[in-house]
Amino acid sequence: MNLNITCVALQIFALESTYITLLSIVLPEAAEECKIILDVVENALPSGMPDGISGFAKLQDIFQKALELLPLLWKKAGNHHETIASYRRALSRPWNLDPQRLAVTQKSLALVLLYGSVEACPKDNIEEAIVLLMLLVKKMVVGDIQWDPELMDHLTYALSMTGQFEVLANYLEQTLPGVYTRGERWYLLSLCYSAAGIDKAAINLLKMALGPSESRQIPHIPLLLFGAKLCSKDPKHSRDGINFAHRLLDLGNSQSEHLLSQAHKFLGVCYGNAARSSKLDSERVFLQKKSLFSLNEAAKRGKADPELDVIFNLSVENAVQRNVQAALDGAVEYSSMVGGVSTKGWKHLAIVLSAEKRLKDAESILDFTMEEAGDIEKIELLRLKAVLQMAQEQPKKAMKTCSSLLGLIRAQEKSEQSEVPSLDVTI
Amino acid sequence: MKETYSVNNLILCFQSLLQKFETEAWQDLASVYGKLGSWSDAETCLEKARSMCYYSPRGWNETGMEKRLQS
Repeated sequence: MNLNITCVALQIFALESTYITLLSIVLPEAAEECKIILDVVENALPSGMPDGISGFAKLQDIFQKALELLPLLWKKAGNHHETIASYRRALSRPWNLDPQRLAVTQKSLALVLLYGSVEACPKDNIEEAIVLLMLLVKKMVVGDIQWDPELMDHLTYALSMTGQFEVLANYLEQTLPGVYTRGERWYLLSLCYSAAGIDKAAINLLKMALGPSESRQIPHIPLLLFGAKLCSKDPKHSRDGINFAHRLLDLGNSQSEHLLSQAHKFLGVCYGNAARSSKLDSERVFLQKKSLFSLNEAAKRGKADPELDVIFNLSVENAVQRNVQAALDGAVEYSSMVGGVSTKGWKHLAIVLSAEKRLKDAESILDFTMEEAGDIEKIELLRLKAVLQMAQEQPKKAMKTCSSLLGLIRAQEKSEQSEVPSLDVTI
Repeated sequence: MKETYSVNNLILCFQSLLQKFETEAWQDLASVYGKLGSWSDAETCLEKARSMCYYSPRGWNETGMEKRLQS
C-alpha cells in the first residue's frame, strides 16, 4: 500500500509541472491531463483518501486542487455534461476536503445543475440541486460552514420553481435570528404560505407586524402592501386590511405614486367588503362612501397608466351602490381593455346591464362568454342566465338552463372523484 | 405530510364550492316551479336543496313564500 502511494506520488510530481503549463494551452487538453491525475489516484485509492497518512500533505493538496480544477476547466470549455460528471466524481468519494471547500464544490454543482441546463432542464437535475442545497443550508444552520445568503436565495429559487412552498417555509423558519429582520422573515414566510394556498397562516404572520413589537422598527413596505392585498381577497379580514392600508398611507407621500394607488385600491376594496358585512345602516353608508372615495383616489392617481383591477373594482363598487351609469361605463371600459378574455369582466357587465333592464343584451353576453369559460365559471354563468330568463318570464328556458346546470355539477363531481385517487399517488 | 394537508384542503374547498352551487341551482329551479304554480315540483326541489344545506336563509324564505301562495 505504502509503496503504491509513493509510486503514485512520483508520477504526480512529474505530472504537476505538465498540468501547470497545460493550463495555458487548449482547455479540453488541460482537462484531459487533469483527468489523468485523478484516474491515477483513484485507481490507487479506490475507497477515498485515507485519514491518517502523514508526509503526503503535498500530494493530497495537489490532488485536491486537480479535483476542483477539472470541473472548472470543463465549464470554461463549455462542456456541460463533463462538468457535471467531474463535480459528481469529486463528491462521490471522501477525499478529505475541508468542510468549507467541500461546501463550495457542492454549491457549484448545485448551481450548474440548477441554471446550467437551459437547453434541457431535466427534473432529476433540479431535484439533485435541491437536495444539495438543502444539505448545505442544514450545514449552515448547524454552523459547520459560514453563513452564505446566496445559498438561501438559490434554494428559494429552486423550491419556488418546483412549487414546494411549504418546504421552503420550513427552511426559512430554520434560519438563525439576525439573518433577516423580523419583518422580512414574516414577509417571506407569508409569501410562502399564501403561495401554498394557506392564506390564513399568511395573514396571521403579517398581522404580527401591526403589533406593538414592531412600532419602533422601520416599517416594511412590501409587507404592509401584501397584507392589504391578502385581506382584500377575503371579506372576513377586511378590518385588518383597512389597518394595513392605513398604515401604508400614514407613512406619508414619500413613496411612489404607483404604491399609493395600490394602497388606495386595497383600502377601497376592504372598505367595500366591510360595508357589506356591517350590521348598522349608518355604518354601512359611511363605509361605502369611504370605499368609493378610496377607489376613485386610486383611479385618479393611476390615470397615466390605468390599471385594470382598479377599474373593475371601482365599477363593482359603483354597481353595489346603485350608481348604474358609472358602473356601466367602468364595466365597458374594463371589458374593452382586457381584450375579451375575462369571464369575470363579462359577467359583471351582464349584471350591470340587467340592472338597467337590458335583459336581452345581458343574456347574449352570457351566451357568448360561455364558449370560452372554464367549467367552474360556466356554473356561475349558467346560474345567472337562469335568473335572467326568469326575469324575462321565460320559465321553460329557465328550467332547461337549470337542468343543464345541475348536469354540469354532476359531471364535475364525477370527474373530481376519478381524480382523487390519482392525486393520492402523486403525493 | 404537509403537502397532503394542503391538497386535501383544496379538494375540500372545491367540494364545498360545488355543493354551494348545487344548492343554489335547486333553489333557482324551485323558484321557477313556484312561479309556474306547480307546488309539488317546487317542494321536491326545495327538499333536495335542504338535504344539502339545511340552514339556508334563502331555502326557508322560498319555502315560506310558497306556503303562503298555496294557502
